[in-house]
Amino acid sequence: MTDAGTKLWSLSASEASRRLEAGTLTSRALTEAVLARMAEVDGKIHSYIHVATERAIKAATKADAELKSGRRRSALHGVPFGVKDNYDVAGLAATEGSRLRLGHIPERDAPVVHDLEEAGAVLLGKLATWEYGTGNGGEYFDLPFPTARNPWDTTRFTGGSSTGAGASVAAGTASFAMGSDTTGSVRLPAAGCGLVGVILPQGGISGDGILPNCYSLDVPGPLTWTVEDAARVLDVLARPDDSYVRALSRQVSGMRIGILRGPLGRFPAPDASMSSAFEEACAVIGRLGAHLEDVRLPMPVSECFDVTRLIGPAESAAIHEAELRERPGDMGFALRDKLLAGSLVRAVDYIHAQRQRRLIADAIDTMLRPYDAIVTYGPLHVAPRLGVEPEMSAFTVETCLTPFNLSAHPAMVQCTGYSTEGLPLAWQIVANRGDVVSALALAAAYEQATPWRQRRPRLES
Amino acid sequence: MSQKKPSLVEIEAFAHRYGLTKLAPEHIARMAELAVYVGDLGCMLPRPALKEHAPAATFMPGKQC
Repeated sequence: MTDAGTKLWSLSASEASRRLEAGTLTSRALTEAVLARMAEVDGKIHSYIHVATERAIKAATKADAELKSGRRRSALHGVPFGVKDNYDVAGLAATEGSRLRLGHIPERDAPVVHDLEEAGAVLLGKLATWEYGTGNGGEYFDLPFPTARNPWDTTRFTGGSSTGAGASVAAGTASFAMGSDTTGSVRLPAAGCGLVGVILPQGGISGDGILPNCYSLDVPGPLTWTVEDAARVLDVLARPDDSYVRALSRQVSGMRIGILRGPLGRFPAPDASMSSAFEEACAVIGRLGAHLEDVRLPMPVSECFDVTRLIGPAESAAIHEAELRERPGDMGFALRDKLLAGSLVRAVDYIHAQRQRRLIADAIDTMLRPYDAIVTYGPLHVAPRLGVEPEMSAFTVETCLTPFNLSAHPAMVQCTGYSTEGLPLAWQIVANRGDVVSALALAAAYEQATPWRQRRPRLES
Repeated sequence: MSQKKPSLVEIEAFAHRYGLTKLAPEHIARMAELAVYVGDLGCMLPRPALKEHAPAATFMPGKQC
């Protein structure tokens, strides 16, 4: 890894925006720098499925002209971004990472894409994804596009299913990216690639125009380099009454924070590096003045995972039933495996899983309510070697992410340092519904107090 | 508790019953393996204590960020 220096591709979205506003940087220069970074390194990490170069240059030129005439649409004006290939963009191929969708070109933009472009952000292209934004935890190298690789170590997995979103922001082939999360698909690649990844409860950001994976759990979310970057994206997409960016300066001193280490159930203890980084991160926010109290999840984390293992495949099988009936041989192993499993879930068990979800959600809500936020593990392991079992499945399955998909609370992951091999470590911050700003403020204060944003992966030849 | 793995004939009949007529033999074989896993998951899932515990399909938090 290397010191990020001052290369334009390495600017956070927020720093780029400040320079654009001050007139010391143009969107065209920034966009061209990021495109040049892509040309230099994307052959190693495969973060993109489709790059829309001409469209991006045109949008950047327009953004510059507007800035020159005094029009700044938002705090993302002129900042380049990518979207996971399950987002619809009018006129651009949306393959969803699948040979089932080769040649599919949507006629309309997903509202997220529309809103970001209306805010002046510059779309660079479509990012790699596990097929249909889902999978079974493994990697089988059987899709029509190269597998995205982790910029911190290209022999390793990014985290899925928003694989290209994680790779691109870490590598500087996008200033920020949009992914989607059903049981961790924003937060897992964010953790694996050393980023910030945030999800809000359903309805916080529109999921329209994104290929569904699980109606009752899917949420879109940003992957960014810094917490402020995430707040800027959420300001555009969630349209809070009070700007999340302005609220980042909220004092951590006096915040009541729950520390949640389990019970993990049948999942193993976290890697030693992950665990020690978590404890040190807790100490950091303690030194910032947060009141720390131990809390316990009302049920084992692995039980929450099991609930998602009935809900997710069953809904996916319903959503993609036609493809499983007509073209099962054209699917990759992971998607087909999930749809076959979902076809076997009894309706009775699905309903019990949704009943159990409600009990879990209510119990977690009760646990959380006395606190401004809780901090807990994200994944329990560092990014695994790509395609190597059982490392892959352990990384994707053994996480503390799914309880908060089930409970529909705002949740985010953040880098808490690096392992001795230089792989990103992460924790998760969860807030009460309607109060994501507490999580963002806590994460921003932690980020300011630690040096983790000063490193970038080394990918240059 | 682990369920008995269904025979390939049984699982193929199940698949055909629900319109999955284009599965290759290896898909059928994999489905038979998955049937045990999925069946176990369903059986192990805790059951809510009261009939009044309604499913989360009615649990839609809406725009609460």
